[in-house]
Amino acid sequence: MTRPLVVIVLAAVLTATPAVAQDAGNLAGMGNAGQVALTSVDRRLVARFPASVATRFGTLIDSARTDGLPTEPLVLRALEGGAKRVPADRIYTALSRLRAALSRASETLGPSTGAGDLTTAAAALQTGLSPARLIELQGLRGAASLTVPLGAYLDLVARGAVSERAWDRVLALARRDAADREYAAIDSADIIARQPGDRR
Amino acid sequence: MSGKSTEHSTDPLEAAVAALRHPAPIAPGFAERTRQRADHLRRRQHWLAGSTTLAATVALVVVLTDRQMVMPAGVTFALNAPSSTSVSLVGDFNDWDAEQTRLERGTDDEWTVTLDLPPGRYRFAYVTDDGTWLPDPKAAPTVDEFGEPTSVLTVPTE
Repeated sequence: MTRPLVVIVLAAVLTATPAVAQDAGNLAGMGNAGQVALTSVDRRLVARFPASVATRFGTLIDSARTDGLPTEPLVLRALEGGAKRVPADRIYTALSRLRAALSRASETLGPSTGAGDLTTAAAALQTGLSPARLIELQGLRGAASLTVPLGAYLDLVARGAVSERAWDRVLALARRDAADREYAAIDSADIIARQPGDRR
Repeated sequence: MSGKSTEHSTDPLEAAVAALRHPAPIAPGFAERTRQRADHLRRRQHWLAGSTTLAATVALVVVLTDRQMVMPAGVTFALNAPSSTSVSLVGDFNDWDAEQTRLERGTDDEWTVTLDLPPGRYRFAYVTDDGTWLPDPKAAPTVDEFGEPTSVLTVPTE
């Protein structure tokens, strides 16, 4: 093997390894064993639902996969509905909404966005966050994951914070490249507390 | 077979045989060049082995370093439920299967379980023995279009 060839192989190893690890990280971010290979219908759906229902869900999930969307969030939402003994039609409606939100998130953030980030972005879109704000955050975070800042925003809003104020706080951290733990440390009481002149 | 000297033979075959009987002329310094070439090849072998080892080591370090960023974190789930006889944890991390993750009762009626979770965002809830769904009192609530209390947890990367 000539010296240039060895250098090329070394460079390839060093370049490819982080990419593979990043994929693993994205899948790990989805939790629960990452993306599960589906055959026709995910085995977990087959185990939890009548065959006709599992097939109906599977068709919707297949269409998401065809569009390059992550399927694990859809499977998990179906399993959540099943665990809560929700009628199949309501689960299907929820899956359709989530699929649409994932599609919007993918269009906004790009097809190479990881499954975890897409899922959190979809949740943010479903609560009314604009795509422009997602893009703004993505620009500030660069290659870093959006899950933690978006999760912090969603948590603040869920606890009753005014969305504008919660977003400003998250964006301020993103602008100074804050560590993830700083997002988790945002004091929701501080944001939720009524300020002089607030109309809430 | 003729016994006469082959140097004077006009037979081409005999002439060739005679020529082969003479020692082949070796260029001056041939042995030294051969030794140097052998040394060069040996050094290249050592360099190649060293490069391969270095590449494998660097790749291993990169993989391990990167994996540290997605290493599961120990997350303790806790619920105070004195009247319950069993409490299960269900969520995105266990396929919402109430049989998978049972909490253990402490002396103060607090039910706890610790899971290793990779970084990410998880929806979850507790289910008691009578089928009641309960949110985590410390975690943020989340939108639940299915009509049961649901909490959400973000496990950071650091």
